[in-house]
Amino acid sequence: MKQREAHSPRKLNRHVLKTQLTYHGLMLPACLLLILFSYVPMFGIIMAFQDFIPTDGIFGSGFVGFDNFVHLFTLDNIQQIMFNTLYISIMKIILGLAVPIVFALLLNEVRSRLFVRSVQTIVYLPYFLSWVILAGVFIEILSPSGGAVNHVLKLFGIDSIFFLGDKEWFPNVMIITDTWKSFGFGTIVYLAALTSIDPSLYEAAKVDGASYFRQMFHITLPGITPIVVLMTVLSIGGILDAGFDQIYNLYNPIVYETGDILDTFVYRLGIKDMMFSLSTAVSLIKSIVSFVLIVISYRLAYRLTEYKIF
Amino acid sequence: MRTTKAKNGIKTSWQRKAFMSGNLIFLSLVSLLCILPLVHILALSFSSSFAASSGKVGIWPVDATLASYQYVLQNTAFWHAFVVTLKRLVLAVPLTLFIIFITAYPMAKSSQKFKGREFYTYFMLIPMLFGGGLIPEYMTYMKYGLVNNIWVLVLPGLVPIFSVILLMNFMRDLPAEMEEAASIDGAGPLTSLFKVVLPLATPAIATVALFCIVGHWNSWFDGILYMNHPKNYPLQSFLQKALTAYDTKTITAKDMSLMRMISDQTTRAAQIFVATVPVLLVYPFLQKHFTKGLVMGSVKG
Amino acid sequence: MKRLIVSAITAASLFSITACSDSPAKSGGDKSKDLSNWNEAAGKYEPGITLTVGTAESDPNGEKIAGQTQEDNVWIDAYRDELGVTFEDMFVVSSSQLEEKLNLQIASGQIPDLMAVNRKQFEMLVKSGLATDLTELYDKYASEKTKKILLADTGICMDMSKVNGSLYALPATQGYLESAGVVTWLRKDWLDRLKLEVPQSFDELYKVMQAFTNDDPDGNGVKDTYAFTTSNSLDELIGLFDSFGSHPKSWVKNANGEIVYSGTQPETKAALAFLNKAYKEGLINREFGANDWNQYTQAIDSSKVGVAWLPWYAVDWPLGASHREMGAEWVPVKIFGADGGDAKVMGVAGPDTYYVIRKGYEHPEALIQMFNLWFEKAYGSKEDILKYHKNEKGEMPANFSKVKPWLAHEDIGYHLNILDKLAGKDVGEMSPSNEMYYEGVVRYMKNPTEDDYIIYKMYGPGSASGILNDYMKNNLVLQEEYYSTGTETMKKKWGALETKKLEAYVKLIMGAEPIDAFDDFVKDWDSSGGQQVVKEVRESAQQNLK
Repeated sequence: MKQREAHSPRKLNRHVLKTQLTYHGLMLPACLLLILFSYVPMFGIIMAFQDFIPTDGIFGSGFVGFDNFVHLFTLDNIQQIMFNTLYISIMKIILGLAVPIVFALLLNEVRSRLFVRSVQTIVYLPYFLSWVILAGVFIEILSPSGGAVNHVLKLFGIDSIFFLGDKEWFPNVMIITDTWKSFGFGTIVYLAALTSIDPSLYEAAKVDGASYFRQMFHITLPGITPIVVLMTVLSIGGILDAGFDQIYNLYNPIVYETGDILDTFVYRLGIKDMMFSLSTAVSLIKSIVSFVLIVISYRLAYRLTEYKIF
Repeated sequence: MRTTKAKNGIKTSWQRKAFMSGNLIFLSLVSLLCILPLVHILALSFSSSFAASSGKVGIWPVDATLASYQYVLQNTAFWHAFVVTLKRLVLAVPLTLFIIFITAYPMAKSSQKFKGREFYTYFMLIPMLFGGGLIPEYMTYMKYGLVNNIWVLVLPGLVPIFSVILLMNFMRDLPAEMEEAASIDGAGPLTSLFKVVLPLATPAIATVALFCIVGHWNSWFDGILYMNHPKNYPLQSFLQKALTAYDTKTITAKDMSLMRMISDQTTRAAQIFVATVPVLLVYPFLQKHFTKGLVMGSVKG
Repeated sequence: MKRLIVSAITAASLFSITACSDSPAKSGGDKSKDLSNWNEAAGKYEPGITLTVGTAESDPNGEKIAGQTQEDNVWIDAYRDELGVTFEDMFVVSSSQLEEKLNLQIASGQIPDLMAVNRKQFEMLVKSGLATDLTELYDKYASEKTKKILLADTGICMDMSKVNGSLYALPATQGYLESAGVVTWLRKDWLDRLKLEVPQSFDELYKVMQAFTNDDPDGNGVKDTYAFTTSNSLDELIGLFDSFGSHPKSWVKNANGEIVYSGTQPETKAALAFLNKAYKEGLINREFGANDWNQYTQAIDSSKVGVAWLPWYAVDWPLGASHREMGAEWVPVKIFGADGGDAKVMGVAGPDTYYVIRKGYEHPEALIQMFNLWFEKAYGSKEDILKYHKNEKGEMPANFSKVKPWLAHEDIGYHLNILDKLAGKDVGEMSPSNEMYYEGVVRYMKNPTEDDYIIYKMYGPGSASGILNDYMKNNLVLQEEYYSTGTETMKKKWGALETKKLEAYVKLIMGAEPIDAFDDFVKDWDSSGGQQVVKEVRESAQQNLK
């Protein structure tokens, strides 16, 4: 207290100013990079309202108003693609919540720290492998001729299934393999939340003679509710991202009907079919939807868990 | 009263034992399920092509041979791609970590302490949500002279917003007293950033570093998109072609003797494995910090 | 601070505006007329000129020619030494990525000087003003030989390279029959092993298919063969569809003389019914739905199939490998009509590749000079043909050239000449390549060696080109009734319609739906825009007549 008084107001002011300037200075590199690599290309959004012609560029191509958007909704596979995207991503969100929660609850019951640590390490591993590598793995083990999975099925007398070439199977294989890849991540988060529950609560409950399930519903689950809500809410913003890396590396034209998602569609539309403007229009719609969802979900997260992400 | 309670206790502990052993078995099985595919691939990579194609390989190599590895290790294109990835890591990881670190620090201050924080929040949020798309990005980066340049794999990813948020949340939870004390001692924000915050933030930085390394190691799309020559492809771009394009008959009929021992199946498996090893090596080192950093960054009481 | 950043953004975007409008396509200037480097006396550029190109990575699978690589080969030498033209790679990508890479470059306006593009890209380049108008240059510089050969297909390809009467590309010409007209290829060695005759009708062919599937034609004691397979595009079944009068990817005239899309006609339903039967009986590889062209050729290479519908040259590629490595003997037979009559086959119209010169490139006529040199060498003296076109081993140095227009229908002519000469008729002076093939055939007839095998199979008695000739003679070749670029609705919906079609076909073949569901598919196709497309195609064809 005394020391602080020793500073004269002017000196303090200068100190504050200097601190503020340093903060801004620290932000500068990131901002410059964002401008150069994110904001400048953002002008490309203008293409969505143009009939983009390469030589005329973004500032020379003719404007066509909302034609591209109208065109977009007349594409007759757009509904199917929206459905695929939502189906795959919503299922991924649901499983991506349920599986790690259950797994973390079960793992939390185990006393042996070595066991917990080992299981954690193992289930978390696939999260770090790229979809390129995993596509190589799954193409191999799901192959209808000679794949390991079909070999096992054969032992049970089941005819071989072409998982990656079957329209019924494909989206579900995407959901399952994605859950397989990423549930370890969730497990670690939930397990941390579980271990951070105050042990004295359980002690008290035991003294009151509360059964295991009572403890579960009255202490454990409420204890992890905030983080569950948070994780759910955060995933909602990505509801239109059904997983480009995964699907691009695993799909083929035969499963387009059920496997084609917004991102793969935009990619083919823009780069293969050279419908530059149309593909930008799709991206823009996707961005807007994501934006609205994220704003809503962040608000929700704040209201429900008082968690401020930014 | 007493007796019933005791009875209950015995009953519970019996049930609990059953549950616990069931639980252990179940957890072990699920863990097994997570590595079995990888073990199977590993076994394939050490097996002869005949054993592989006739489906005899389970989790242990059949007709064990190193031929596939011989083939992969002799494949100069593979190593070339490997080197490109290493270069990319060397260029990108330190720079990215530095930027994340210096950006997260002011962002972790409250709006009162850092005037203009709100603006930066939105400034950083917008690029997360809106992008011009692939084609405008390509056009822009081409104007910057970055197409076919290794920096295109580095520069656009130097500000990973997710990692900034993670580190920012971690820094917010650091005890403010130490910094205040330093500040009272006359240390400027830069000094306290590097002298006080940096040591405390190690677990979170390790986490972010792991994300960064793995992210760069795994990224494949940018290589394919921006590189004008396959010799500039990083490893995963190279593998994308080899593993998923189905057209990987890289062996000519002349190598028939080799052909008997290896096949697409086994060489692919070997490539998958060689490309996975580095991740397996980095992972345990950082995992310890990692759990802590991630949890502190994302979980709040 | 805020303002500062905003102005920084504005500045950066201004930079990109100016950068955009400064694309080389526009700034190149128009120096093309004076041909400063062209030395008329030497017939080459002095000093030499350089063209940037986009190249597909050499396929490690592709055939290798001793001493030649993609970077160093006879054509690189010829263009450099005889024309003063060298090439510089703007990018090299895998062949599957080439189209996407070029599209990105087109979007950015940064394109190579010389491009080999598909129809879609050709249109985009012309629309964007990135393609040089070659009309006058072509008249001025194209040699007589070039002009003659480029029109050998009655000018279809050249017409398609024009937009509003101006020539924006030189086409990779090809015979409309050679590349598309298919024949049925059968494993002769399997027929022999099973003591079967070469089938003479569709019914006999069907019996052969059953035998190839069930009677262990490769004699290995395992039932591991099937009659035929296809990729999931079903393109490899075109010949089978032909048998039923169905041409699922083509516009044809129906009995009333109206243009219709054959893929939705009753003939196609009949073909699919047969394929469904074949599927049930296991005649077709049941995994075809997930196979691509590579897996298709693998099935052939590894001796799993005994029937294939492929072009006349298939005995060389892709069937050649199975002969060399598995000892397969392939025999061509014509496409039989399923009803016992003659089947008609589709000819392809138009080029699959267009050669375009970037607008603003200083020496646009270099493309025409290259065409001149190509025809001079690839269709020149015997020595040149061996060196530049196709050598004694049947390898094709021609594939190394940056431009590859072919003489339409030349092979049928060669075959006929050879037959005549063998029969002792006077055929006058043969062209060098023809003579070469003739000698190869004669050699093989005296002493069959692997060296002459391909030539004999391609040009000798009983070759597939004879079958093509029969098609032509008997008027069994259909032309596409519509070959312009897509109509309005086509541009929007064709992709989806084609996907719908393919899915319906696959379902019907695999028996996921009863065959009568074809009619539902047709209704669905019509109402999803197909009917509108048909209407527009008819209108467009009407206009072409005027």
